[in-house]
Amino acid sequence: MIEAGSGSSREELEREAERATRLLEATAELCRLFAQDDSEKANLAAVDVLKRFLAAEGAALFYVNGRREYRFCLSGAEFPIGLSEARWRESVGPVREVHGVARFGPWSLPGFGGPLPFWISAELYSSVSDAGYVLFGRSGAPWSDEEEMSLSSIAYTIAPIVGVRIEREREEFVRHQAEVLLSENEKRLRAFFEDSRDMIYTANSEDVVTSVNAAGLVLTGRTEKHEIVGHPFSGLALNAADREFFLRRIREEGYVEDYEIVLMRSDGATVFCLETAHTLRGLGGEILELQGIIKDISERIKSEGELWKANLELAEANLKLQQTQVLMVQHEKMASIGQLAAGIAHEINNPVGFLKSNHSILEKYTSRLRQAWEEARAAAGPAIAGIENRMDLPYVFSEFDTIFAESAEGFSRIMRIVGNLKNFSRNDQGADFELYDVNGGIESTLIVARNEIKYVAEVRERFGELPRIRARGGEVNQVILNILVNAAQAIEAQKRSEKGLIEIETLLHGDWVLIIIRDDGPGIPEAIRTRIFDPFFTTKEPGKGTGLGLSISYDIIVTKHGGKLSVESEPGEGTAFILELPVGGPPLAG
Amino acid sequence: MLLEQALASYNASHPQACVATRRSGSGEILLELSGDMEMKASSDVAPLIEAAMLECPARGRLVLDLSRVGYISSTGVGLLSTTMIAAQRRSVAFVLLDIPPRVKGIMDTLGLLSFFNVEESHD
Repeated sequence: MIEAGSGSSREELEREAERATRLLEATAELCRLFAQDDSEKANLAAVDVLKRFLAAEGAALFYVNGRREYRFCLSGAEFPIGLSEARWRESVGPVREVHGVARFGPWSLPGFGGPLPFWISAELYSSVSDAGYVLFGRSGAPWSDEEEMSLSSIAYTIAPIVGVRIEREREEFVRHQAEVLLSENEKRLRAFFEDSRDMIYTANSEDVVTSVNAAGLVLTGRTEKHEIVGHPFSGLALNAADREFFLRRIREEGYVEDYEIVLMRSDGATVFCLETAHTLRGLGGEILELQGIIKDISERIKSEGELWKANLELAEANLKLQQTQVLMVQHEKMASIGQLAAGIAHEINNPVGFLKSNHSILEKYTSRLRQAWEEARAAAGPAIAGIENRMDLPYVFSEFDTIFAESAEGFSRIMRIVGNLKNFSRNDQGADFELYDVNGGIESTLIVARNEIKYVAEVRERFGELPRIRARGGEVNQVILNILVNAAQAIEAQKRSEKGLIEIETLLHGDWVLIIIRDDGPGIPEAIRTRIFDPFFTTKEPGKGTGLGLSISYDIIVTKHGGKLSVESEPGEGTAFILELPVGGPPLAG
Repeated sequence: MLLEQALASYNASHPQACVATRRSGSGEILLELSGDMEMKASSDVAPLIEAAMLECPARGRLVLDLSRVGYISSTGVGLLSTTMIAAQRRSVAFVLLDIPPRVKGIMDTLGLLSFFNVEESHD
């Protein structure tokens, strides 16, 4: 605003008008400058215009530009001068102490010439942290009030323009900086994506791959990205159902962590992988993108798998070793029992032999003595009758026959038992297969098992006409004994009032001899029927069985003799064990 | 009792992966697992299986019904392997019942399936 002085003359009025015109022209020129030129050169030109307008000797413009640089435009210079922040603050210090238009001096432009005594400055804007100033200096006379008013007016007009320019520049700078940062970030992310040693991929909501990094190509054995991009991810999985399972989880939970998946390489090799992924969703919650990282853990899985395998093999071998050891001990024990029985039978056989022989001789001699007594009594007459009556000899002689007959029967039974014991163990047989009488073997075994069976079951034999077969008789007898004792114990466990029944049937069927041992015991539940031949399987009370009898029996019949051992059972009705032995022995037995 | 505690503890923290136990005669314990045997769930279910193993009598059977297991991780397969070894040490028959094809596939790919006693239910 321009005011005319009170009581001014015509010249003063004309001078005032001229000053106002010049002020308007200067202001207009400044506006044109700033309108035509967006660069800092407009600031340099503006300083020159103002210097001319104010007829100053020194002029300068301080400001902080959009890049946060401290700038100093000196009149007459071609380029603005950059200042450090400290230098700027030091230089502008005296100016900053006053707001608006101020007069001060003496002062010198920082680094340019000597001091001038009279300075005037105006604050251009203060919308940012550091304001801009225009400064003018001269030596002739102090700045007048009119000049101060003119500067104030110009500053008032151009301050918004300069401020807006600075703000716009700052915004552009910030935007540029953001773009640079964004670009750098994108480069970093791209490098991270491409250079990652793990597979990184993105897929759309339909699980069609939209991008994949180089590691993804290596992992899947592909050479070009288009082999993966544009195709469903499930095509990479060994089992597509695994991917479906993964997708179901990620759709429900939004992320999946450490999910193991097996991928198939293009060459058919499998790759064990660990995947962590999450979804990007739209405002409506719909899945926009799926982003995942997949790590190859094949080596780790391979090592672990081999370790587990080795441990399992070791445990299995250890178990087999223990079972074999126990089986051997049990085998040995059973064989030892047979040998012991055979040994005892052999030891009994000799004394029984001479006892029976002596018994026969004694019977013969006794008969002779009785005949001699009859003859002596006939010769001596009544004299000897007294002795005969006193000794009750007629009764003694009458008992002789009974005693000798009973003794002979006893000897025969002992001899038969001894014979059966020897026959049961087949101690006379070696390790080779020899001709074996199945029916005879069963008879012998029944003698040995008699004590186990006689109080709990009747035994019914239905023996067929059989040829002698090639077998290890002692071992077959062990099997029959085992089945008979099992049958007797099963019947006994029922604690029934009457005796049970064990039937033994033999028959020839083609080149096979069948031995069927049936009992009317409790039977075997179906659930355990397939396990009864397993080592250590038993349903007996602790201490009653080792669970090895049928396992060993199976080994003897099936493995050693090339035969068959099967079971038929009806719970509550009874059980039948069927032994089938080849007449000619096992194929390799010769 | 330990088994009951382990079961309650597991079910309290795994509402989705419900586990039930059923005992039948002749020393058999049946554990029915459901859900995913991923890394964490496998670690969590280990004490439950161990408790069942401890309660299983020698020459008994520990049966793991896997029919409702949707996914198994290598940690899960490792757990089955260590359980198998522990079972052999304790003379317990460890049986995997109704293994889903995908679980079976993983075990087979790892070359471990043949070491396990696998049964199919007749229900």
